Amino acid sequence: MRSVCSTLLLLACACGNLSNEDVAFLVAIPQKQQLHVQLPAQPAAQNACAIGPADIYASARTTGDSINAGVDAILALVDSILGVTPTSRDVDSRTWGPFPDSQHPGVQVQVVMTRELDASGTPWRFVYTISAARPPGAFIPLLEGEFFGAQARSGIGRVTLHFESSRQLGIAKPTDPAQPARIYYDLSSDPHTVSLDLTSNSGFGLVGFDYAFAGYADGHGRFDYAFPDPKSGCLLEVTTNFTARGAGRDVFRALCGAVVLGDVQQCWDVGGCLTFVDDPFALTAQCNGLKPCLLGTSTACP
Amino acid sequence: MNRARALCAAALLTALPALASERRFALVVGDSHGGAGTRPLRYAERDARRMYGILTRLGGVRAEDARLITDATAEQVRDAIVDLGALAAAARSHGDETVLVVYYSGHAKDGDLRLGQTRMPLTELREALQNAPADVRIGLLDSCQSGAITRAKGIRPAPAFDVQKAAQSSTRPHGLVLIASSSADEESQESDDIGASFFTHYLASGLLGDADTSGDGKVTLAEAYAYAYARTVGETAETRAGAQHPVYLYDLGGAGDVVLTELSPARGGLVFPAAAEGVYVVLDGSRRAVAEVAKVRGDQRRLALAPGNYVVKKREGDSLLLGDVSVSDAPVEIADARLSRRPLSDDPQKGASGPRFSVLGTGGGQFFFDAAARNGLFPPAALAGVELATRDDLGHQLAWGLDVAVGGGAATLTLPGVTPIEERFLELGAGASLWRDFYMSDSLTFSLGARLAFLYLARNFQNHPELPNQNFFTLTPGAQTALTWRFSNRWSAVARARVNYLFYNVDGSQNLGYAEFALGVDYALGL
Repeated sequence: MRSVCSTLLLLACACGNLSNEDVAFLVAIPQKQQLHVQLPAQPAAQNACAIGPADIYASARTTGDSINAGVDAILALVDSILGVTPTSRDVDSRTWGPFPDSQHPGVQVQVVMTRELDASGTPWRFVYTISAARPPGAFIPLLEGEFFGAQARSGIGRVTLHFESSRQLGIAKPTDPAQPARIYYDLSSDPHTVSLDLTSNSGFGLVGFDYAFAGYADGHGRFDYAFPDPKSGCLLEVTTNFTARGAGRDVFRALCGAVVLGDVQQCWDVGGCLTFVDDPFALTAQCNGLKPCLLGTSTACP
Repeated sequence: MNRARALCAAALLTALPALASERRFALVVGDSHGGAGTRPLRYAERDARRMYGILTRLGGVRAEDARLITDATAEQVRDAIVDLGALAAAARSHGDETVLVVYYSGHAKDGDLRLGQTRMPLTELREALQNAPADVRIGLLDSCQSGAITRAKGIRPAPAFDVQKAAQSSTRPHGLVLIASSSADEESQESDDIGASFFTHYLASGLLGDADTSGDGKVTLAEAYAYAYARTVGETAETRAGAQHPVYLYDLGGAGDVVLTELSPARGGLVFPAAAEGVYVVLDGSRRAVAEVAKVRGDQRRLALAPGNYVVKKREGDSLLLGDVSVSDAPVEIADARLSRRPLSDDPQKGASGPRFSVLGTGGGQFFFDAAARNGLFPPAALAGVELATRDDLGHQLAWGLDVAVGGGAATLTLPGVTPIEERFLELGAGASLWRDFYMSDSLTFSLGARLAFLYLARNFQNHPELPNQNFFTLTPGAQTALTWRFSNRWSAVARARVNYLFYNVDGSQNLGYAEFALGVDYALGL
């Protein structure tokens, strides 16, 4: 009888999540793939190289993968509400929760998204906040996002992940940074830029650095990154420019304790083979310790 | 009434072995539609089927010598008379006594039988019967103003069947008998209560045995007429249209009366014992009356029903006597003591005029009036649907139906500052409707009614996998109208429009309206 009544009540109501306004809120949220570092495809097979393989550039790919993993981890929190119907709707805000965090017993999570409209009624700014609490404690922000533009695919934004809050709530992972991590993006023009600011941190398998990626519509781009060089024990800070087909040049310097060595230039072709090396410090393996090291010709650089 | 009793009395004086060495032929025509200026009859075809069944089962007409035509044209009737006449002529040439029975249930007006869009003058039918090569020609007409057929030049309707005079003849019966359900200026009436025309219902009841006043197991023409006359006049006396008086023309020579049905071949049936008294109505499995017995104490009466399951009812004061009976090869005695007493509200014949079912398939579209609502939320949709409708179940000209529809399409959602978003949407609907039919002509019906529907909508955004699928469902009340054009016995073309109200409450509360338009084809079931 109760189920019959429930069914009748359900039939009698106007129910569902059919909402254009919900869509307007959701399209403002950036998606993981929109903020990924996207390097040219890796050559199918490594040819025999006259000078040698471009190892520094190869490290860009592994670093890019780590950054993408970090972005994914941050935006996974944002994505979590995409499939959930808002708990309450106001004209210019949506609220999800509070609801229990299924992965962290005892923790309540709430998401609030607000927007501001311009004179024509077009959204120009969205503020997105994920807060969490261990009742009876107050909600503290885990993630804050600020998105400009009506849609993420052509918008500008900033996402801050408050790792200090997650540590305070006892829900942080061991690999998480200790301080806030920030993502900045600008998808409003060419190039699209994405940066991950870990200057005061390390985490996601990355050293502390302000990572920056710029990708152009035709496929070429620039990637600034850093990684520890296991051979020299130094931290290499690299600025890489690449073509759509995968050839490129980079300039890097090595931070070896208090000593800074730089700049080193390398160029490579679409097959990933070095075509030019100008390395005064013989940090390039193919220099075999001979300083200064000059291999190939600069005219081979793209 | 006196004339009918005289007929009945005359018939009682005569008993003839009528079926021996006889060959009988029957043309049975039932047509609900009479063309312009007439309303469709509800029971003409059923009347014809009942008479066909009785004539072939009890009337000595072999199946190959019987023709049943429904939804006929005048040409088909003419051809059938010629066809049966040829068979009768052949039988006569072999020395058989022949009888040709023509039964018609349908429209008649201004001296014509109305057969759909075609007409056949009554004079033509009478002459065709007059000249048909059969020894006895019997015309049974159940239609308005059909009594006009008995007005023949040079022939005057006899005051009663002069069977005694005919019996003095040394030959078997020969000649023409015409019986019409109403006089030339009367309407023939149908009854929703009995689910038949009055005249045919009582003629059929009489032929099944209730007219067998002589108790010899044979129902003669005179007995059948007397019975049908008395019951038709009696039962229509209180109707709004007034009493309906069957008439006849009797031009029968030779000896004795014509036996129309012989009950003995049907071994089963219902037997009403001598002590039984009152009006018993026998219903079939569809709760339609198949026969009545107006029983007086003292005579036993048998109804030669076909094997099957029946319900017998008898009204007694403020209650009802009801009983289920199964007829097979042996007679079943009906005694009041074996019937259960029930309140009148249990009358199984309520609505027994017979609901008519039909299936309607439609294709059409849906359109929301509000432009903002059409923007991705409720975009114009194509719909295909099917509806099962029941007419005359809740009342005359009232109908109700259950429908389901599925539809959908592609649309574009436009939001300020956002690249247009392509979406695909699905819509499911299920509704219950109640409406009234207004017959505008023989083939055209206008309908107006209300509908309550359950509506479910869902959409997805193929180019935006990050956006979740959305759905919405609610109940929507509305009104509907339809125009139906019947273009064959079972098939009709339907144009339908609906206007519905929808309460939408996700992005704020909005009162929305939408229209649905559909074209479809309707198929009538179970005619």
